[in-house]
Parts: sequence; structure tokens; C-alpha cells
Amino acid sequence: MYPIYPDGKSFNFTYFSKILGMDVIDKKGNLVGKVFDIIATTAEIYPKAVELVIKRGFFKAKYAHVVWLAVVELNNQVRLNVDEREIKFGRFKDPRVDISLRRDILDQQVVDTFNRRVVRVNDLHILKVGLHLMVAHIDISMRGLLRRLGFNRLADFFIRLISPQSSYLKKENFISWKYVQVIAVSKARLSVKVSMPYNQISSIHPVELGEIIADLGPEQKIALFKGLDPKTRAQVFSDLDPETQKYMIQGLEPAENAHLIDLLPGDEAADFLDLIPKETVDQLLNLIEVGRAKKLSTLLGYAHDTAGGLMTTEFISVRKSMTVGDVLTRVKDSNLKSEMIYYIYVVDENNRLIGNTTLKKIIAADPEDNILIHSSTKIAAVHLDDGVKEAAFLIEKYRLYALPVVDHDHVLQGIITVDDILEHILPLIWRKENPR
Amino acid sequence: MGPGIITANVDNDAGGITTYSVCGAQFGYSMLWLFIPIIFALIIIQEMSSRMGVVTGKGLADLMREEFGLKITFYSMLVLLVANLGNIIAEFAGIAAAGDLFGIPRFVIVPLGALFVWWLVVKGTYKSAEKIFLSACVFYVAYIISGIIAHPDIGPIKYHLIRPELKFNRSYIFMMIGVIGTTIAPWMQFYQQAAIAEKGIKLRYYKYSRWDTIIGGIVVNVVAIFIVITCAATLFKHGVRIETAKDAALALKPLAGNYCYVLFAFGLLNASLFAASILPLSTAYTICEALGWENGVNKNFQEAPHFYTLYTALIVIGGFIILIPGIPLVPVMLISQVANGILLPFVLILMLILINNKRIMGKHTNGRIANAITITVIILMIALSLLYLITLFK
Repeated sequence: MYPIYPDGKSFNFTYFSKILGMDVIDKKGNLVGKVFDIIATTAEIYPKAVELVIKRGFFKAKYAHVVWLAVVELNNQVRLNVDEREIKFGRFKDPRVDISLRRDILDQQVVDTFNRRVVRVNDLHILKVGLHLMVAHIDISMRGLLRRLGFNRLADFFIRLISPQSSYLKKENFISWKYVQVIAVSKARLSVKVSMPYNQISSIHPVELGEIIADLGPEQKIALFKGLDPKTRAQVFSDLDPETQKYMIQGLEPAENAHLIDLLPGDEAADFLDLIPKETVDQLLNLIEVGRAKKLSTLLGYAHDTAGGLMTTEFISVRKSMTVGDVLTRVKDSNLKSEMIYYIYVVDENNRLIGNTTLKKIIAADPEDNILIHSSTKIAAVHLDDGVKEAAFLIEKYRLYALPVVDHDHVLQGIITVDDILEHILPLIWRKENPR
Repeated sequence: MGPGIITANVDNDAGGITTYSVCGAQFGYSMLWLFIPIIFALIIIQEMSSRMGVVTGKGLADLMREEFGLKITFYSMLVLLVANLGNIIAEFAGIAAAGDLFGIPRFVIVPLGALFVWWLVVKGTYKSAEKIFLSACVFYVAYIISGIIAHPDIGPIKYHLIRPELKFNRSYIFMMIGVIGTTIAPWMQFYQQAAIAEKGIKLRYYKYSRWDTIIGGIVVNVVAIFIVITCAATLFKHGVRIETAKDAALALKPLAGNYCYVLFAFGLLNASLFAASILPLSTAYTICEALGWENGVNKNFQEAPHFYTLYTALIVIGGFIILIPGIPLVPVMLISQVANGILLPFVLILMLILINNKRIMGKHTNGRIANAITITVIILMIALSLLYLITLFK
């Protein structure tokens, strides 16, 4: 009757909502209670039932956790192979590592990593192989809603009456578990219970991840953020709005914050430090590598809308004595956090800016040539105290991707990239076009 | 200006103004005492909503779905939908009544008002409109001045403010449920908690939020008390029973003289439009949140079809019902407030269970006093509703 699973067991599908509330009887046929929850392990790709939770009573309800192996029949009721007297009732125990299907998934918000959005779970579609249960899909459809309310037959009847071809009757709005990221938060560690890489969350673009995070509750925000790998975390962080950024910083451990700063480009790391109280800044700077910490504290000293406040200190500068070959090795070894490796700045013994060149120019040049041969010495630069407007003006005039920033002695201090300028100027344009 | 003060000002909507006016005209000062316990109850209940919003960062509908499951949430939403639709109808009744006073026919002012409200929100200009609505709430001062100019007798006012008085007749109980129901309306808990959660207020700043709630709760009741006094000192004294909005406008005669129509009409129009722009939005938002449908005005129709359908339907139905010929405005507004009063205890029970759950609220669960007061309100509201039912069959 049922299709046969490879190992000879029959299998069929059911819904979690149908199992909930079923009568549980012991081996003698005495009523033990009703199904309250199923605890599942996420050690494999599809969560597998490991524990049955039985509820007894209504006011002052008591719960019993029974291992799944004790289940010997599961059709219209659940039969156990133990005696009622052996089952101990007490409090509901929140599983630490495993997930509770009722508390962590049903009716909760999860991330649909295929469609990149946050959805609310109406029901769980469960694969039953023999007596083993596995969560195969989550149901987010209107049909799932109606099924749980007990109106599905009624609704089906009317829709068949009105439009028999309706997509409502055929389309199953299921999401495969492969694409579901549960964000059940374990209270103790404030981290997600289900590890991320399984569920392809890392395949989502950081900008979209930022939007997903915005849709979540506060604890879930931090938990999901913490669960990301450090590099994605840094990328997502850059795209969050300052309020959420602040929220995340407060949720992370100092060491995690220091690690995050390490992975951010210099200017954004400085903005990061701007968001947090002074004491915490000092504490964090102590956790960061000395050279970078120094640079960051310098950046912190500049006003927000000046070239100094806008610039990043990650750039490639080379001595005028170097050859093209040396420079290319420098570029390869630079291991930069900043994306700007297109421009190479040439400086003298005192770090004064005397020229610049581009990767394009030197890649085809003779490696033995002195770098100055392939450099231009007429270069546009702004002073540390110059405003955003000057920088924007020069970038536009000379069609640059980045602009060097120098101090009074023409010593190279940093660069401003075109996206930093855009980030600063776009809000101004917005405000002009949408006056409040 | 926080969510607490905004919620409180929307609370003095068309239904509110009408209920308080009828209360003053029909029962004089005799129901004034009711406002003292209402102040405490309102502040405590709204404080609970905002505390839940701050601690969990989630709306009340969200929390209900996650804790009580779909069935309980769905039926709560169904009842909330009906009660809020009643409120929305009352707002459009307010717009129509204001139109009557200005001499503008209903068929013109109601569709215009509906279109204006719909456009405000869909076009995203609501935030700036909110400031205008809020500042126009200053017009409530008219009631306070009018109440003073009318030279009411201070003696009876003091007496009735402190001295509770219960009358076991149908209209008195009906009015009590109406007054409580309009002042502590179920939509307020959903709206304030969602607003707080959306603002992302942190626990550290919660004390400001608390003051916001307290000030809001006091302001709304002071205005309500003065509306009752003004109507009692003018209408009740001369035995005028309120049948139309014109009668209610007469209460402002001591201050505005012959211009009382204009002042009353303007206040009513502002209150109605303000509430009519918040209620449908808040209702659609709450229901979509509970059922897991995409929502929010920053999404377009394709992305959030349920949300926009619900929002538009609430406005269209609310406006349409008022246009049915011969529909009496004042009873419509009054009945909707009574529906609120009957729904309130159920929302409060669910809130109590949520806020006393340690897993959700951590160490910010309710104290004993807040629990005691809320339980008292729940018991009182159920008792009043039952009493009203009994008087119906007597």
C-alpha cells in the first residue's frame, strides 16, 4: 500500500500538527497523556525525532520526556512499550543541543535561504519511515494555516466549487529543510542551535543577509550574526544601519568584537569605534594588533566629514627606489583588508607622496624598471582637514577610484575611495530630493 | 513624544469623545469616579505592553503566535478585527458628524476622508502628518476651558470623583462598559507594543518610556474628565439628551458661543482622521504579523498583498457602512466602544500569561501589584459584561 523505502520499510508523509495532541497509551493500553512535543536531533541533515514529550493535565500541566525508541506504534495514537508507572512526569525540559519542534520551529520565524527571506512556520511536513520521523519540509502556506485551524476541508470544498483549477488546490507551498535556517536561540549561550553551513546561509549575499537580520527579533539578530563565519560577519556588518550595528556590538564578546574590527576596512573600523563608549574603545584597542590599533586611534581623532575622518589607512605605498618587480611582489603579499589595490603610491624616505601608478600600468612593464619610470608625479591629493566636497570634486574631475590624503608635510596618511564618498554624499542628495 | 503619548491621544478619538459626551449628558457627574481607577489600570496595562515590547523586541501578536500557537492567536485576531472594524466605523462616523456640523454632506466628506487616510499611509507621508495631528490635539484644551467657563459646581464634582456609585440599571452598566472600553481599548496594547518594538528601545532607556506611558495615561483621562464635566454642566443641566453631534457641540457653548460648532467639529475631525489613519494600519499590521504574512508600508502590493488588501478593505468597509442611508451615528460609535470593553478581558488574560513567563521576560516579569490590578480589571470587566447580559433579560 505504502511505497517502500530502500531498506524495506514503508514510508509516508504526515504533519506535525496531526501528531500534536494525539493520545499516548502504554503497553497495557492505559492512557498516559497527550503528545505535546517532539525533540529532534540535528546531527544529520534532516532533524530526526529522538524524544517524545507527553503532557498531562491542563492547569498545572506536567510533562514527561520519553526516548523515541519506546514508541512502537504511531498511527492515530502513539503506543509505547513501557508501563505507565515507569514514566516520570515533571517540568518541560528545554533541550540544550537538540531542537524542540514545537518551541523552536512551529509558529516561529525561520530563514528561507532559498528565497532569502524570513518566514513564519505554519506546519512541519514530516517523513515517516517505519517508526522514524524526520522533518522534510516546512509548510508556510495558507493551506497549512487552514489545516491547523481545522478549516481545510471547508476551504477546499468552496474553492473547488468556485474555481476547480485554482493553484491553491495543487500547489504545495513547502520549503525543503535543506533551505531552512532555524534561529532557535539557546538562552545559555545566546547562539543558534542549528549550525549554519548546512543550510546554505553563507550563500546569501551579505546585503540580503543584512535585510534578513533586520526582519528578526533582537535575540535572533545577534544569534544569527554570531553564527556567521567571521568574514561574512564583517561584510554583513558594513551594510547594517548604525543602530543595528550598535546592537550587534553590545551582543558580542570583546574578543569577537576585536576580531570583527580586524576584518573591517580601516575607515569602517574607525566608524565602529565611534559607536561605542570611550572605555570600551580602549579595551578593544588593547585586543587589536599594535600597528593597526595605532592607525585606528589616529583615524578616530579626525572629524567625521573631513578627509581624515573619511579615509582608510589601508593602501599600497612603495619607496621610489623599488623596481616594478618589487612592487608587484608587494601587491601580491600585501594581504589587504581594503579592496583598493589598483593604485600604488610612491613615497620618498620621509613617506612624502611623490607619485602614483596603477596596477594596469606596471603589470605589462619590465620588472627590472625603476617604479618611477612608470609613475605620474602630477597627482591630485587632499589635505587631512579638507571637506568631503573637495574630495568629491577631485575624484570627479580626475575620474579616480581613490584619492590620496596627505598632511601638512605632504606625508601620505591614507586614501579615500569612491564608495566612501558616495556613502557620504548619497544621504545629502536624498534629503534634497525628499525634503521633510 | 513617544508611543505612549501618541497612543493616548489616538485614544481620545471619535468614539471616545462621543462616549464621554453622552456619559456627561446622560448621567451628569455621577460616573466621574470611574476615571480614577481607569487612570491606574490604563497606565499599568500600557506599561506592561511597552515592557514586553522593550524586553522581547516583538509585537504582542508575534508573541501570542509563538507562545500560544495558531488557534488561540487566530481567534483573538478575528475578534480584534471585528472590534477594530467597529472602531474604524466609529472614526468615519466622527468624520461624518464633523461634516454635518460644517454643512458638508456625508457622501462627500467620508469618501474624501477615506481617500486622504489611505493616501497618507500608502504614499509614506504618514510620519509628517502625525506631527500635525498631534499638535492639533491641543484643541482638547477647548474642553478644559469650556468646562471652567461653564461654572460647574465644584462640590458635586469633588464628591463624585471620590465617591464610587453603582446603579444597577441597563443604561448605566452599558455606559460603564463603554467608558472603560473606549479608554482601555484592546488595539492600544497591540499598537503600543509594536511601536516600541519597532523603535528598538533598549532596556537602559526604558525609564523614559515608562514616563511616556504615565504622562499619556494621565493626559487622556484628564481630557476625558473635562469632556464629561463640560457636558454635564451644560447638557445634563438643561436635560438635553444627545442624539446628534450638534447636541454634543452645544457643550462648548460657554467658551465658543456661537462658534461652538466650529470648534467641536474641528476637534472631532482631527481626532477621527488621526485615529482613522492609525487603526486600519495597526490592525492590518497586527493580523499579518500574527499569521506570518509579509507586511509593512515599505513593501509594495506584490510583496505584501494580504497587508494591503486588509488595510484597504478596512478603510473601504468602515467608510461604506457610514454611507448607508439613515444610519444613526451616535449609537454606532457607542456600540463599538462597548464591543471593545467586552473583548478587553480576553486580551488582558493572554497578556498576563505572557508577561509572567520567565522564559520570555527574564527578570522583568510582573510584580504582584501589577498582577493584582490587572486581574481586578479582568474580573470587573467580565462581571460588568455578565451584569449587562442579565439586565437585558430582566
